[in-house]
Amino acid sequence: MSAEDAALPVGLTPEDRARSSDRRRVHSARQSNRRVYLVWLLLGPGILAMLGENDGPSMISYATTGATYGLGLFLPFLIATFVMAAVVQEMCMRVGAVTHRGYGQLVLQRFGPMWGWFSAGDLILTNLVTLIAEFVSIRVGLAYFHLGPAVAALLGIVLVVLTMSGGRYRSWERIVLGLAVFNGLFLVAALLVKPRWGAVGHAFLTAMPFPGGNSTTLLLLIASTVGATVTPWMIFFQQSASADKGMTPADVRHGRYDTIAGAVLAALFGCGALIAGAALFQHGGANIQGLAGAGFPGALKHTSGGAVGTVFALGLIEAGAVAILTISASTGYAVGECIGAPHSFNGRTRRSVFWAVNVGAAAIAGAIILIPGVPLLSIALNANVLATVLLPVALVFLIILASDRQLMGRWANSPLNNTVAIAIVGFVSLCGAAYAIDAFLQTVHVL
Amino acid sequence: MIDYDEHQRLIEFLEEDQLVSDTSRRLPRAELSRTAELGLWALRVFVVAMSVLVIYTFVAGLG
Repeated sequence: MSAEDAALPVGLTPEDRARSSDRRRVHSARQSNRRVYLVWLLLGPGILAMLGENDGPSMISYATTGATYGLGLFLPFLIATFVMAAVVQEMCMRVGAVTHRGYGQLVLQRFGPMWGWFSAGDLILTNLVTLIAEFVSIRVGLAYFHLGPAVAALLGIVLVVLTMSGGRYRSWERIVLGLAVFNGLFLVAALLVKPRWGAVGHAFLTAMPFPGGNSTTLLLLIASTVGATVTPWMIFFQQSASADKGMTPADVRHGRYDTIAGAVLAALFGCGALIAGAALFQHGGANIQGLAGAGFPGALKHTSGGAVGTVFALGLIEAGAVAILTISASTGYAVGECIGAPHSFNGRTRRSVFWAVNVGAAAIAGAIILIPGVPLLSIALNANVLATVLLPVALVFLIILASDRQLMGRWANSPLNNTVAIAIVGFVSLCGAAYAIDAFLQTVHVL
Repeated sequence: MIDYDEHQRLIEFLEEDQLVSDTSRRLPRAELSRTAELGLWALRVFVVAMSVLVIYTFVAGLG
């Protein structure tokens, strides 16, 4: 124990001290009626969850969709999925702010160790494979600048270590927010390809022209888009980060602003990737597939100029980097909450379980992309399917927690909240099941 | 050692149930209705069935 820790009164931890200091700022801004400053202080978990989910694989997937099918159905559909994500993430923020506890901790304590460890185990597994996909997207971006996979692995791991070195949630959050701003590069790419804005507006308002081609592939793409917009790690992350930030019921209104701002920005930047990808629609874009689409920045350079290729490649590096930081954090929170170890960016993070899990998860994923012959594409695609299939479990527990009057008091879900949330669970379950069954039937050659 | 005023100042900006000592306290198990219990069992079956399909697809894809 350090001399500084020993000076703390009995019952108070360095984590309490750091959180108290952050809360003093919020208290002061509220007392002096500095509204903009208050919004600024309380922004964070919502924007990070949403922009973290605009990760490398998602952006490549949106661009692939644009390149394969054009704008048509997918532009309004993408926006609808972010509305759905905002409904789910608002519940996470509210439960975190009211209970001051993370999702993993609440599931473990309220529903028993079986469900608690199942949720954490599911998250650790899917996060690990998603992290691999994030490192791959950084690798794809860096390859455009003739840099190899070792640089990608090193960059991701160093970022996780450096952002955690401040020993404060606030400093971690602000650094990651600063990086996440560059998700806007996908919007810049969309502007640089000079789309026909009339066609963009028409697609947005009418969802037309409706994409043609194989209906099974189209359904799978819809299911994967849904699965890529709401994920288990986002649920763990936003609830735990809201609690770690020290949010209280008095901050719920601002937490909603944060979540909505995150959804709007993520939808805007996601549409940017879709529009940029659609520039390849008439140029054989359908041949640039998924994560194997390492040629996306190069193809955009060929059709729309070097600036577009460069911006898109930089965007992929940013998207992968921010997702590595937020997904590693959600893994650290989940493990800490389930084993009862300290799980906060506040206080002494170095040499803690929280630090080891954050850095360890990134290091394992970074090391895997360096192994020659590992089926990265298959791992990434199946991780996405598994995450989609397991999402209903996370959503059901979230709804039960958010509706629990014993925990939430007057902040519990309203009947309207529950109706919308249950409809989302039904839709996601249907998409996940259709996705898994279809992939299985194709594997056994029934389809 | 920290004085009384400093202690009060630290506590002042935190809610009582926000202190680490409080959030580390275990919560009681949720009391679920019979319908909710049945729903959770249905969820278990759904998860196991879907996971088997996904794992089979993944393993078959490797070969």
